[in-house]
Amino acid sequence: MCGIAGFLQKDPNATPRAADVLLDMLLALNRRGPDSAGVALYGPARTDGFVVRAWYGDDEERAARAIETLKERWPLPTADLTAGYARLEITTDVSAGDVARAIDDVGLRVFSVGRSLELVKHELRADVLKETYGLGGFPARLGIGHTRMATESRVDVEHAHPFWARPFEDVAVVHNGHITNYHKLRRILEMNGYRFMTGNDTELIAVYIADKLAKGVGLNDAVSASIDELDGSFTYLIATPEGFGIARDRFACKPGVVYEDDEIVAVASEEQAIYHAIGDKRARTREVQAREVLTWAA
Amino acid sequence: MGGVTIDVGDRPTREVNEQLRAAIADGTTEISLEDPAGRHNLAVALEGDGVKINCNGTVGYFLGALGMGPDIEVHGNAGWSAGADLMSGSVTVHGNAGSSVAAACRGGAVVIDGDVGARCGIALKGGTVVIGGSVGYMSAFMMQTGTFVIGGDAADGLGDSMYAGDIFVGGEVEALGADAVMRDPTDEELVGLKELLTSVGHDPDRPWKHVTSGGKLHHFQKEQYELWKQAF
Repeated sequence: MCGIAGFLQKDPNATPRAADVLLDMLLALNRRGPDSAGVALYGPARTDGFVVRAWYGDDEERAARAIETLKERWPLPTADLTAGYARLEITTDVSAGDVARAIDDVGLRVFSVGRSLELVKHELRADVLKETYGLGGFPARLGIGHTRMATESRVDVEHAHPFWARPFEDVAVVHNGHITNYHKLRRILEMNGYRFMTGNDTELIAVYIADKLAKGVGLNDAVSASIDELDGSFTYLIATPEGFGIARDRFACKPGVVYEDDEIVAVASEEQAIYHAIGDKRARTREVQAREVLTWAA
Repeated sequence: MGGVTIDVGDRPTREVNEQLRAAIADGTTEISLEDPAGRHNLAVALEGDGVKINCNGTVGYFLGALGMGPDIEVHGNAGWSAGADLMSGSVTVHGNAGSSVAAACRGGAVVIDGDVGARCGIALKGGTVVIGGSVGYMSAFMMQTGTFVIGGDAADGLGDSMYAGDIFVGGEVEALGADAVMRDPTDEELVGLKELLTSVGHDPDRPWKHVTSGGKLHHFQKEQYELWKQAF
């Protein structure tokens, strides 16, 4: 199964509440994915560097040493360690890919690098994730999230969703389904120089779309191309600071419903998550159809 | 006996459905489900002619599935498989619904005012399905009998490999499925259609088309190998 959810506040001046709403939606989808939960949240953009979320597990001393090493190279205005996660603000003018490699080198697992993207996921229920990492009140207007019931790859923190599209800053994907031409597409992308950190097919979708975006293809066109180029069953959400979108495979195997009004867009696997997002028990949601692609500007 | 109100909210589904069954056993004929909150499997496998159940809000998957008798009305949307496997009675949704609506029904009526997802009326074995809006991919796949009315448009694969039964479409058909054929409805069929749609409060005045089985897949014939290849 797996549950996916996305929430966008259209007005750039709206008081940000996407993090809280999204985590509530994921709690409503807990039964679709009790293995793990995760969110990709888009906060205020940094202009002089990146914000990084990286995993250090239970060895806090090693994490502290890693941070000291990184500090020798770049200023780190913020370096927090919370329950396995390092949240680092790095002031630099190098690329997101270079930052990710430097963090690999000091022994941390990079989960996201972006100007505004922060990705937090774990083998926890959504409300526990929120509590553990203090995500309540996180100032995001846009976020996507996931509850996982693993089918294709390991159950651990690294294989939880969302996935960052390494090395492209700020691109994240959540996905319900499985990609059957995974190995073929992965080989093609690897031949183009991309590096995959897990054996999870969702990581492939992230890199596949981000590669198109980097080549100048628009979000809607890139996602539309995936309907024929990705084989298998999928309903996935992709987010960037500029917008987000949903795509459903040609057989409509995996669910997806959408709600939109003048102020918000809410998408989810099931109506009950949307109900939690908007509170209006009669609001019109509709099912995304087979082969349908919807995108919104953030 | 008068009406009862049952709150759903975060309560266990089994508890809600047991309360529904107990109310019907007590002779209750009017039941309101409040705050259904998009929850799945509500009011499933209920028996009781003349029982009316109102769901005040959006429901999740399998609303009223396997029902025999009750008339269930949803003031909101419904998820996948609303009214699936219905034997008799009705499921009416004053909103949109998900995929696999009215799958494999043997009787009764499933009425959705809005749009539905893929595979609506798949393997329909009887009864009446009325969709006010559009239907998704592969609707009425392997339909066996019954009446299926679509006020709006139908996506790719309508009536694929259907054995029998009648589909009426008021909008555009993206593409018919294997061995589904389209013709103009007869005057007699239009009279019946108008009667049906008026009774459920839907607009009967549309440029109706009648979709049925071409019958070529009923028996395998070697010379129709290409058609079979396409169907599979």
